[in-house]
Amino acid sequence: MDVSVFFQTLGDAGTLVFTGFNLLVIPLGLIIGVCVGAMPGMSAPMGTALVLPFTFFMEPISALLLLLGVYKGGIYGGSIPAILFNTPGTVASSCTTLDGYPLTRQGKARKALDVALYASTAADVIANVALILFSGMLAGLALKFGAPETFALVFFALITVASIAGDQIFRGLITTLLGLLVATVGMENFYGTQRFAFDIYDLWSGISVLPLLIGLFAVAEIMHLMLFTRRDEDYDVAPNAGGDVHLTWAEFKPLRSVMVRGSLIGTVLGAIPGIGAAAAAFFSYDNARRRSKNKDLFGKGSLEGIAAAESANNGVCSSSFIPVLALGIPGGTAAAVIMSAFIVHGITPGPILFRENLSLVYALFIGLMLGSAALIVIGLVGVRVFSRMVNIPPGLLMPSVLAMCLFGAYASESRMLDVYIMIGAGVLGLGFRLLKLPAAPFLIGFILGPMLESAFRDTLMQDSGNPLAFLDSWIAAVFWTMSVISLFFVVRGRMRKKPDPVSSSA
Amino acid sequence: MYSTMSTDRILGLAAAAFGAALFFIVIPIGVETVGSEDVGLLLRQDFWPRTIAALMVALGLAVAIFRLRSGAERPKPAPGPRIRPMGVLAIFAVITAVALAGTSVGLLIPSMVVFLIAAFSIDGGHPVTKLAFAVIVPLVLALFFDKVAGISLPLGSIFEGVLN
Repeated sequence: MDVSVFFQTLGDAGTLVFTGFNLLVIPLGLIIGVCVGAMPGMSAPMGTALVLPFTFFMEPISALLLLLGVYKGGIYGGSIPAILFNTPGTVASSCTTLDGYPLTRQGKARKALDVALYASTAADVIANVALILFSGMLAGLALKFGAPETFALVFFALITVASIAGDQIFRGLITTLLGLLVATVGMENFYGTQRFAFDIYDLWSGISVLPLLIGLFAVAEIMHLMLFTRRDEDYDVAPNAGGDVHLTWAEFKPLRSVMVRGSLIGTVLGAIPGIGAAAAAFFSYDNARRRSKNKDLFGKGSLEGIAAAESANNGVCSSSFIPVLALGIPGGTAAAVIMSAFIVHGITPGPILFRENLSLVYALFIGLMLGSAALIVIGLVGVRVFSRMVNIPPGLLMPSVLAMCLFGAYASESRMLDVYIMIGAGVLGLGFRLLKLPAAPFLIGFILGPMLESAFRDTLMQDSGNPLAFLDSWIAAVFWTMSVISLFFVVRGRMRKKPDPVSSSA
Repeated sequence: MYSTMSTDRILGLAAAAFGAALFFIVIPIGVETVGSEDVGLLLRQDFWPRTIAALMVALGLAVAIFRLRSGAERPKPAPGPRIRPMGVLAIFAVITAVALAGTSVGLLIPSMVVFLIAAFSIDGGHPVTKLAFAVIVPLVLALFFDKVAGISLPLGSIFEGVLN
């Protein structure tokens, strides 16, 4: 592009964005998003869908900035209850609970919330830059992902996630299989017949992820407290836990590389339609755990764990718009809602958008960067407010969270079955805790299961049932190789593990 | 003597038994295979669940047979907190209250009951505050979801007339 044309387009974009109304709409969207994300049962895509009708009277750029703000804020907001109450506000923040809640119980809620905010903002900036510079290239890469590549990638993701269980990988694999199994409940996509629905009509559409998620983490936690806790001192949140214990520079310094890696993982995976923020967060988490000098801290309150999870899920947030902008393909639910906003306002996303309305694209990019700056300001204020919530007595706080979960589960699909599923998942989560089985692989197995099965079937159907079709591309081959290497290192690690001194002495 | 190894072994056997029950009993009953008689095994509706069940059997048996925990017997760990019988009862009460939400009682009263049960099972906070919160919190949440988020909640015959 001619330099003068570039600057002229940039100037036009600036004129579009820098209006008083738009500068108001960006923080407003973020605030709505943070509140929506912080409420269990109200996901970021749901927030964008709720706000969409209010944008009909706005200019296209204002509408899109508001919706993007809600989505960004929602993804970040989901980390707040995940850290404070073990209740992921959104599916994307489920990985954040692994270390966020243990830190809250150690009286370090403020530190955890600080890391979540910085990681989210850093990822936002990095993913925005990627969106601006590499939209075309990443969209091209995403287009190369057919069924065999998706199957290999998801298989690798499951192996990676199961290994989150550390030296108990086989327990992780068992819960992964359980998650895959529960994901098969409902209507079978190809033939339209039922699987494990047992003629319950509501089950035909399958089990929703949100009630399952809330039950598995939040309800299980509250039930665990009801089973074991009698007195205040048993609930080990330190007094003034969320108060003034800031993150120090010394603590932040080693997190920078984790955040950059997590952001890049999120950015690349976000460009691939369907992978989603939760899977990216677990990928990044495992990557950080493998590289960390303090592996043992992961799952027990590691700041690196939060940085890895939050940077990846926020990286996905921006880059999931790459397929929307470059190809006109929504990469997830929220992207689909925002794409419908494009269409409502008479804009067709895809390559034509870059040709015919480049100033709008640039205006969006500028708006996204402004959103990142606004998120850190709003987040810093929010962290101060939210971190003090842990000082509410557990006898009042936990029942309030439980009531919120009940209404949130119902609200997710407006059906009572989801409330029952949530309670059932709570009992299952409690069972997992008592048996020391990891819940995260179950969840990720559940989320990725349908994608794995459909990629498996599509691959076979495309190549007349030839199993070699799974190795038919270099991308798939790369992921298979990575899966084999990953399994090899896990098995080798187990073989080489020296007997526990305690065990030997026993 | 307690050992993590034997816990793993029991868990492995349980997983294998669960997988076998799935494969031979639950899948034939729960998965419809109508219309897939002429397609290959790999494309049948029950192929995926059966694969998962078979993997569960294999993994469970592998854990049980090969003693996947490294090291020998471990000493009994320090006793953790004991499960409170009242806690078990409280959880059953919560489940019962939630089950009632599916009837004409609606979601609001069961959520107030659930709040009360949980509040008195977990210490912290004054009993009077707990009673007040048990009414106020679910009511505020119901109003938020019903009036702000626009989600029609089953409020039950008592509250339906009052709130609508």
